[in-house]
Amino acid sequence: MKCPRCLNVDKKYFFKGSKGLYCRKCISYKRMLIEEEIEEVKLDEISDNAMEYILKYPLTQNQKIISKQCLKNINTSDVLINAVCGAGKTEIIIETIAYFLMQNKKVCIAIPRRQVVLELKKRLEGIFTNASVIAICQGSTSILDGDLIICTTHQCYRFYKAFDLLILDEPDAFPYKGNEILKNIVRTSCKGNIIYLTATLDEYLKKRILDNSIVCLKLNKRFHGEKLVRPKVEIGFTIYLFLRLIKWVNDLKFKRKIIFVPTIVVGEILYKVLKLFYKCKFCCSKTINKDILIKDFVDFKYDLLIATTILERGITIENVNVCVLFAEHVIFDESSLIQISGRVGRSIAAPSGDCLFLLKNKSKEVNNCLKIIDEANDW
Amino acid sequence: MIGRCVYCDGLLLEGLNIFEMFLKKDILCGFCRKKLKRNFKTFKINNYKVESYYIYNEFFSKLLLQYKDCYDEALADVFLYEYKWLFKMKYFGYSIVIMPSHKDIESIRGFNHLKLIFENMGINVIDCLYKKSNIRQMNQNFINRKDIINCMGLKNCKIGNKILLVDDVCTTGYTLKAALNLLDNGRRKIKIFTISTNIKNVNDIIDS
Repeated sequence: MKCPRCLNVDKKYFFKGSKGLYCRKCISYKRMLIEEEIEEVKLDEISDNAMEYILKYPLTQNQKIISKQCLKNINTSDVLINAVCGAGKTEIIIETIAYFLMQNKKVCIAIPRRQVVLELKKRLEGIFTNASVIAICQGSTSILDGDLIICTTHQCYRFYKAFDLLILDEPDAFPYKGNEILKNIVRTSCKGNIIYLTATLDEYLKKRILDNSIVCLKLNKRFHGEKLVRPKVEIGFTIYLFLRLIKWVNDLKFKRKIIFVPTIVVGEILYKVLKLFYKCKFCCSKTINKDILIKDFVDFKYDLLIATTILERGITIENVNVCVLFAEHVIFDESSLIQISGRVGRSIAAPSGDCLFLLKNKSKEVNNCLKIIDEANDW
Repeated sequence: MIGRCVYCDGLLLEGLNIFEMFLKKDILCGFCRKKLKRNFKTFKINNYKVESYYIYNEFFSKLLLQYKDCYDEALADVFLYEYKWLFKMKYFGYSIVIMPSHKDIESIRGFNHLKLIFENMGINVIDCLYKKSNIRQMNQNFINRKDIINCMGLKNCKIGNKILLVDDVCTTGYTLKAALNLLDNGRRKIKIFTISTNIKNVNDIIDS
C-alpha cells in the first residue's frame, strides 16, 4: 500500500473512511484515497513566442559555462547548481527554461518562501516579456495556468505529474528542509528532471552527489567578479552587543541596513527601543503588510529594517548592509548565516558592503559559515 | 503501547501533568487539547438558549478545516470526546436536528460531518433540513449570510416535540435562525447547541 501523492508506505497513517482507505500523512493537502487514480493535470499549450527573453546584462564567462552544462545534462539526469549567493543563479537557468518552452514543455519554479515567489515573478516578467508568468502562493491562487509557473513548494500538490521540468530554488530553506511530505509532493508534480539551485548543500543533496545520481555544477564567483563579503564577528555581553549595534547603525547613516534577530520577541523589544531614535520597521511572519514594508525599504522611504529569518534568502536589495544579533542562536544555522551574509553586495553598483555578526558566545555554525565563505573566496 | 495524537501525531502523554497522565483518556495530546479553549458563556438566539462547547479560535478553525474541508474522518471523535456522557445526560430525550450541508458537498465528502460526530458518540440524529442551493456560509460576507433563510427547506419527516438544534460554528447565528424559522411552531421545546462560537460576534447576535 502506498499513497500516490506523498509516497507514504507506513500503515499507521492509513485510515478507513467512508470512501475507502486514505492517507493521513498528507491530509493537510486534502484527502487522497489510496485506490484513487490521480489524473495527470493537463495544462494549456505554451504561447508561440513565450521563449523569447531579454537579459539586462550578458552572462559572464563562468555563468555561460554552467548554463551550457546544465542544458546538456538536464535531459538525462537531475542537476544541482551549487553557486554562491549573488552568483546569478536565476540568470543561469534562463537558457534551459527557454529551451523547454520552445519545445512546448511546461516549466515550474518551486520555492519554499512566498516572498521569494513574488519577487522572482517580477524579475522573470522582465526577462520573458512575451510569456505569461504566473505566481501561485497564499493569497494568489485564482489563476493556475500560464506559460511559466512559479509557486511555493506547498502549491505543487495541485499539479500531479504536470511539469516537464521543475526548478527547485533553495531546497535548504524552511519549510521544505527536512519535510518528507513536501519533498515527495514536489517530486510527484514533475514528470521529468529537477534542477536544484542552492548556495548551501543539505544532507540529502550531499548524499546524492556521493551516489553520482545528480550532476553537480559549482560556481564560486559572484557575477560581478568581486569576492563574497566576509562577516565581521564580535563576541561579548548583551549590553556590549547592544552598544556595538547602535554604533554600527550610526556608522552606516544614510545607508540601508537590516538587523536580523533570532526570534519575534527579541525583534519586538529591539524595535520598541530603536524606534525612539531611528525611523525603522519590524518585519516577521506575523506582519500583515510585509510586501508594502519591503517595497518601502527598497524605495528608501526608511533605512533601518529589523527582520527575523523570514528575509534571510531570495531577496535582492541593492546596497544593503546586514547585522545578525545573537548569531549563536540555534535558529541561525550554517546555511542560514551564509544566506544572510549573501544579501550584501549583490549588485554591480555596490559589490561590497558591511556584514556584522554579534554573538554572546562562540558558535560552531558561525565558524563553519566563515570557513565556507573563505573557501569560496580562495577558489 | 502509548498512543499518538490524531492531530499532531505526537505522544498522547505530551503536555499532561502526572495526574492527567493516569486519569485522563483522550485522543488528542495535552498540547493540542489545551489549545482548544472552553466556552462557559451562553447567549440567546430568538429567545432560545444557545450552549457552545468551545471558543472559535485559530486552532479550532484548523481542526475543523482539516475535518470538513480536507475530509479527515479520523478527527470526528475529537470535538466532543470529553463531553460525551455529559452531553447525553443533559440532552436526554431531545431529538437532535443537524444543520444541513448541500447534497453535492456531502457526496464529494462521503459523509455528513455533524452526523458522523454524533453517530460515533452513539446518538441518532434527524437530518430533516436541506439546503436548496450550494452556498457556503463561510464564503459569504456578514450581510449576505442573511440569505440562508431563503435557501433552507424542511423535509417531510417526523420530528418530536423536544428538539436540539446542532451546528458546528455559530458566527452570525443566521443559519440557526433560518432553522428556527422552519421548526418553531410555538409548541416545541427547542434548545440549541453549537460546537464552537465566535465570541467576537456574540453581542451582535443578541442585539439583532
